Amino acid sequence: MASNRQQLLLTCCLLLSCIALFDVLLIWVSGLLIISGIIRISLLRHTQKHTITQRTLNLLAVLSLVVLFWYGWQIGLMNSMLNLLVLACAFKLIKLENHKDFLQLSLSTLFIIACGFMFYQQIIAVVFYSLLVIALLFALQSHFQPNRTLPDLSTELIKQISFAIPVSLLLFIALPHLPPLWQMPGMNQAQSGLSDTLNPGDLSRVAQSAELAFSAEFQQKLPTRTQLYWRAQVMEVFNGKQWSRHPYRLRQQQQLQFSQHYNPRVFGEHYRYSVVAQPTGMNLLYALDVATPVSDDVIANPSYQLTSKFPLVSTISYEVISWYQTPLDQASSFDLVLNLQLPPNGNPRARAFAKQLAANNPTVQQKIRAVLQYYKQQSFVYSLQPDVMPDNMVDTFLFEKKKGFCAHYAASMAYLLRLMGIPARVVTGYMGGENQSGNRINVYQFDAHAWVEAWHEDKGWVRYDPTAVVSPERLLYGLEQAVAYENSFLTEQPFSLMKFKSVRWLNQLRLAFAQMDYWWNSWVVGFNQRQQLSIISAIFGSATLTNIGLFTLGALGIILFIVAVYIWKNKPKSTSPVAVKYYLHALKILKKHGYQRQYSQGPEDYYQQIKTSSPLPVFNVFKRLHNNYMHYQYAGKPSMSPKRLKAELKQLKHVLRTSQS
Amino acid sequence: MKIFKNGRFFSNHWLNKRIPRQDEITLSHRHIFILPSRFGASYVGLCILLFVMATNFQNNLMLLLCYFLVGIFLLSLFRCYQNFVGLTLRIQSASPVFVGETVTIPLLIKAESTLGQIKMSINNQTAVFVNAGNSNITTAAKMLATYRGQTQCPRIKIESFYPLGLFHCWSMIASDQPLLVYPAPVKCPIPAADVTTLKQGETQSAPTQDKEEYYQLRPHQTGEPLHHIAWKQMAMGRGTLTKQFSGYSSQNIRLIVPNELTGLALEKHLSELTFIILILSQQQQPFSLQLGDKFFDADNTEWHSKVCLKALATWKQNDGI
Repeated sequence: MASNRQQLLLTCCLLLSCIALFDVLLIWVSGLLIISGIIRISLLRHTQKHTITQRTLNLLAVLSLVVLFWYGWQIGLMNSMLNLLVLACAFKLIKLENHKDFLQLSLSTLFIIACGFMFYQQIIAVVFYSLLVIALLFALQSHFQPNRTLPDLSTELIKQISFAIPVSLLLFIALPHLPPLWQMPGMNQAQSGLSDTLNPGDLSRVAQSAELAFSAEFQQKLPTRTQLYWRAQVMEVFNGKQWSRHPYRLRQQQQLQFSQHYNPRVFGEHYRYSVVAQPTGMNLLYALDVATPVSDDVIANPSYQLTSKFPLVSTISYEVISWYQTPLDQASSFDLVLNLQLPPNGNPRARAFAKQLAANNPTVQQKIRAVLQYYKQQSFVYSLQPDVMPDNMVDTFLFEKKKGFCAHYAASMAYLLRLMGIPARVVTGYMGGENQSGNRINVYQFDAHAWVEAWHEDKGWVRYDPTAVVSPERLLYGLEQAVAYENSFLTEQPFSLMKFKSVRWLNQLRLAFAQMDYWWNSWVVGFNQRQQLSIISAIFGSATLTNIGLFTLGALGIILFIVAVYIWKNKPKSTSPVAVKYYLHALKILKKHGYQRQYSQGPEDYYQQIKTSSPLPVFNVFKRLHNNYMHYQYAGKPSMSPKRLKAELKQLKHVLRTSQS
Repeated sequence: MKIFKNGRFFSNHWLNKRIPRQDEITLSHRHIFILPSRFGASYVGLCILLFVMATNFQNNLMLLLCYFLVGIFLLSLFRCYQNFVGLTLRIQSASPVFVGETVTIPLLIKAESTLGQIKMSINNQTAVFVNAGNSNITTAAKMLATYRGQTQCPRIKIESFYPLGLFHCWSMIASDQPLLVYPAPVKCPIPAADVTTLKQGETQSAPTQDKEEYYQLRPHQTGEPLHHIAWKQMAMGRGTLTKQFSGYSSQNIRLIVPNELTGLALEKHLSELTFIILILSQQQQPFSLQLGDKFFDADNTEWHSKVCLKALATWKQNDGI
């Protein structure tokens, strides 16, 4: 079979694209695909002659479908669809026989590659997927041009790609970026980051990851490190084990998506910054203090929290203003009641302790100070490896273990405050971040943090961080310093470059990568209308509707220009020399006037025919053209210049017209 | 697809005006049609799907891939057309065949700047693929002959899917030369020489005379067919001799197609006569043919049998192929 080359290439593309989706595919589905890939390759290499019979294949397909249907419920709609597609491809691969199969399989592979972008958006992944797409196009090309050599095909493909890349970039920049058309079924991706409930043990798991959570780029000045409390979500319900959001808040958030925006009252100084957030699959966004969104699809809510209209399924960027001098002093009476709710029983020692503290300290200020004092005096330890505390978590933590991560401190403190009648809640988010060049801060998953907000009648919600009392290093230098004593920083990622901050060149390398990632995330992965408008403003001065229109039209114009240049450069060159070209042209003109040259006639015969049958002026002109042609054919050089030939042709037309009228 | 009736996208009349019948044609924009192929349509579907998914998941990389594929598609349109235009084809005349055989229309393709595969087909029947690439190619379009008669050369569909199969560039070309299809020979007894009239169904069996070998040489007499002269012997200087065949009869056989014969009966009779003519011309026996009012005088030359076969093919010709 002559089509070995492209079939082999297609098989490899399919296998690689699925190997890249290893996390998403069910193990047996990938196994099946790999097996069918091996069968196909061995068939192509002629190491195996017998293919599987159709009957076995059908049976296997039905069986696989049943199994997939069974597991499909657990892995989510999108994932099971993708699994189904890969499964179908695996069976098609075994039965790859004709032209149609080949085309179907290549389209499916293209789609699978595209799906990869939903799960991996790093530069390296994109490079890998691009190579796969190119290989696939190459396979298609060699399928339709079977007789061409590899270098030939490669140059051809490079030409096409070098055309398609600028076109796609222009389309990407110029065409409007639409909001989601409809809600898609969720992708069950393995997401890192905060979850919407807070089990004290969870956060220390998040903090084991060195993945980027988000980057923030400030317009003018950077806040000091101790101000960097990135609020993500407010937990107001405690059930004795875990903190979570109240269902009412979720409803409120949904309502805010459709009604007009909630705007907190703000005053004083502010920071303005843009955030490029990594996908989390949730609506949580990050901001400092009282924040008002600038971007359209970001919503503020009465808990001083920012959420996105759509779940963060891919990297997004948004712009925020944080009013750091504004107190968080807006709360409804419902809020205050909600933030006093307690589980009916459990943690008896903590209850007794709170009663005692409340009796000794009459004012809110004193009560809070007393709690913080307790943490400070009782030799609490900040640790990334806290013990498990399944029952009466607060009691166990406060009075026995005295060793925990920030979530333990925040959860126990908020509980104690509520017991003393002070409205209090737990806020999760990130604390700190790494300064990068250009007023930028990178915040990683290990910066995850939890703290407490307590209500004061006069000042509103005030932030208290019990962790900072126990471990000031966490506040001032970050997690790595804070847990240096127990060597627990990023123990699960021994090769993370984060661990080699002391090696100078490695650290520089890491920062350069971070820089590149930021650029990639903000200008490619997170590119949206905001950046589009900023480009337009940079070009035209302002982003009015006309300018946007001009911009889009301009980009389309450039595309047309590229097309024109491409066509012009690839125009099939006329291989016939000038003398021949003009002679043939003359024949055409003569034919139009009734002097047709027969197939059997050579130029000389035709010349004789014209001599006898046409009027003298016509013949005289033709004679010169004929002589020039003959001169070229036999002497290898035309006797007339192209300019002269053109004039002669004109003359020929003229005499023909006059002689006929 | 319904619009591709008889494998033709356009009406014949329109085609004849747009692409006049000619033996040699250099494809220009007038002659070329281009549309996305079926694969191209699915490809566009994939692009739309990717766009929707990219928008709904707000996934810029998927959007970029989608635009990249659109770029490739756009370019494919131009490449496909550019590759096809300028292709020069010369259609040569097809030799006559019998019904049920394959008509072969020889084609000379001058592909100076054309690459990729070129597909040729008539009425969407057996397609012939050739690989173009800076060369002259001799090939042929093929078609099953289903009706007897002389018709115009059918339109040859010539297609290219260069470069990625996304577009389908084609032209329908035809030469001016006629196409001749003889009736399919049907085996039947050879009539005796003295049979005067041969009506349908009345073919009488004759003594077996189908031995081909000559059995003797005798001096040539004027009037005897030239191709029976033993040229070899003449060259050796033995004089003009005539080969005499066993079963050779100088008496001619009269073949008659009555004027009133029509329909299936006529077709059957014509087929049988075709068979008889083939046998007789093999044996070089003279025969005469009467087709209604037309009469072809007895002869045993190859030319004569060809004329007769053509007459049989075109006698009361139906719509043709």
